[in-house]
Amino acid sequence: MINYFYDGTFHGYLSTIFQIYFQKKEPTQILKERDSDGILGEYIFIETIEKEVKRVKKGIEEKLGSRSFYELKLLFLSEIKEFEMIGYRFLKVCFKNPLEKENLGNIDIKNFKIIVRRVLNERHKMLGFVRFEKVEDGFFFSQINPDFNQLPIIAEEFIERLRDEKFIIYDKKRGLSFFYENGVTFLTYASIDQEIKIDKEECAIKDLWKLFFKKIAIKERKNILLQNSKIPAKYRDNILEFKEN
Amino acid sequence: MELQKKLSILSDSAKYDASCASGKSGDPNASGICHSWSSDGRCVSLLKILMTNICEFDCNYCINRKSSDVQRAIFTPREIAKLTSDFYKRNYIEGLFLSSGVVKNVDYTTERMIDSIEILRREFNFRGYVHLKLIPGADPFLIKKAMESADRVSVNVELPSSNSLELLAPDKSKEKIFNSMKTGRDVISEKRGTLTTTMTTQMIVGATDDSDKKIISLSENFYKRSFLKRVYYSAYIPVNEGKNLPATTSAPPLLREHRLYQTDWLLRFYGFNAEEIFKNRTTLDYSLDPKSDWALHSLGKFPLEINEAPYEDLLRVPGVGVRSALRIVKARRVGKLKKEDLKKLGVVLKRARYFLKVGGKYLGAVRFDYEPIKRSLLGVDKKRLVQPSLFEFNESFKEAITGEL
Repeated sequence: MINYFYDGTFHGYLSTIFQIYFQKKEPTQILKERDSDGILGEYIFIETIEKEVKRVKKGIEEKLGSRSFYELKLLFLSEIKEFEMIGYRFLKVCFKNPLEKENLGNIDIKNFKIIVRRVLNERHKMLGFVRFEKVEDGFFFSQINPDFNQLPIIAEEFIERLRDEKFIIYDKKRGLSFFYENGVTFLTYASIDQEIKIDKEECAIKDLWKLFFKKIAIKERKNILLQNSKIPAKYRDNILEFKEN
Repeated sequence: MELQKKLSILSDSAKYDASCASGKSGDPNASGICHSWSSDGRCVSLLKILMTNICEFDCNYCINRKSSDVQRAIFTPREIAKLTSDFYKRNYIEGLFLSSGVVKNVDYTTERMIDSIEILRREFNFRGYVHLKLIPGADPFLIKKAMESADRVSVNVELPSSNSLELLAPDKSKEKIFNSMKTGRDVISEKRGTLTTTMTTQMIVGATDDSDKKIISLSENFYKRSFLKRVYYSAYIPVNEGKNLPATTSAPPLLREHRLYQTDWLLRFYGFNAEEIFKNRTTLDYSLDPKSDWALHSLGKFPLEINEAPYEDLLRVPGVGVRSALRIVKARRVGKLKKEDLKKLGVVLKRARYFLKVGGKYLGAVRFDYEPIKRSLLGVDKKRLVQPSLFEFNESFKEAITGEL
């Protein structure tokens, strides 16, 4: 049993890939350092080295294309159990034969693609479900709770929309925040615990939206089943027209 | 009148316009985002409102017709702009869909609508999506101006024949509608490359006895000649009484609308033409999707060998959508396909099997003939024919959204 341990970051994961090819020791498991308790077999601890990260990125992009590298990043953001091995098996097949990378008939490719698709589907939903409210110090604030780590791949999409404003998107479950003001952005671990005070005019705007939302439904075409399937309960807490209040 | 009251009246009236697609401003090929879903299961992505429901026209089917006794309201251009900007910044919407009744006259109304958009773009720096409804008969100069600040414009055809129009909407004539569309088409072709504005239209289905063939032939013509991005079909919702209208107790023809959309998709993405879909019929067979229906009547072209058939032929197999056809072609480069591979590639075998063979072996388990195959197809789709729950969470649901057949 050969176990690779990395620091839990995306760059750490890429360094692991590099070392697997360098040391030529086939992994049984690829785990995060913090999960090293009680694992049997040989331990290989991976140090995150930027040179190696760059070489892996270059290798993947040249052999498989930048899209595949993006998909690997999406896999990482899925945070799914044992995604590390799924990613490794995908790369193993594709480095042997790059043509296989879209072949859903191959189980390793398919497993990889299924997760990527799930992350992308949620991303698409998130782009629609994010709701901002103006808070007292002029920030537009939004709270989200996605299944996968979406902030790194959705936050920048809002810069165009809120170009002239300042905004924060907060992933409560992960304690991750994205800030934007005057062209400057940063993504950071920062818990927001205090009570958010909303701007005076905000209630009026929210009421207008809820009114509009109610009015546009055509009774004769009522289809609650469809509505429920499109907006799962887990997201409704942060979507104001569905919040119980 | 208070803003809340205005919004209540003027969003209620706008909902019957089915055109809902939203794109990214300046990029007509980017797919739109749904911000929410209303209780009728429809995607909400735009602030869809009337500027006013005051109207000089008296179209029989419209709730805001001149002779109707409804409460009237009108937004100021600034109110429209601020509402749009506020909602957009909070990510409730991708943009604005602005329609209107005719206040004073067509040109005054159009100018006022253009005002709203210009305030929105210039003062509020709005870079989101704008869809402007054009009223038939507006001055061509105004149509051109509207297209400069809108991402999409549309003129509703409403009814597929001039007889129907005369009967139900005499204020809107076929000439006025077509002339407005021609102006739009000319602007698009003149400014090709610099202007990204696109044009659509809408037809009401089921308000008159115009046939499916008539509707689809008209759509086909539009796509060929008028640079239309899309035609929308809206099942008639009876809100008014009228001797020329269906009874107010009649149910909206949702299944028929669904089949028309599926046929429309065949025209736009699958290389079909109206003539071969209908042959000498005027009505679709609503019990089947139009692609299966066509395939059943064209059995001479099937079964196709999955490992040899070209892309254009694969597209015509029921259960093989645009994406599956592409995946099949890609997967074939790596090796010969087997039956087990097809499901993984997204092929809906429930339908496709009757029209395919793999390595020479026919996949359908019945005699290759019209009756047995139709029976099998119907047996499979039985649960889909119950109105209005057309959308179940499985392939049929996905197809209704993606249009893939």
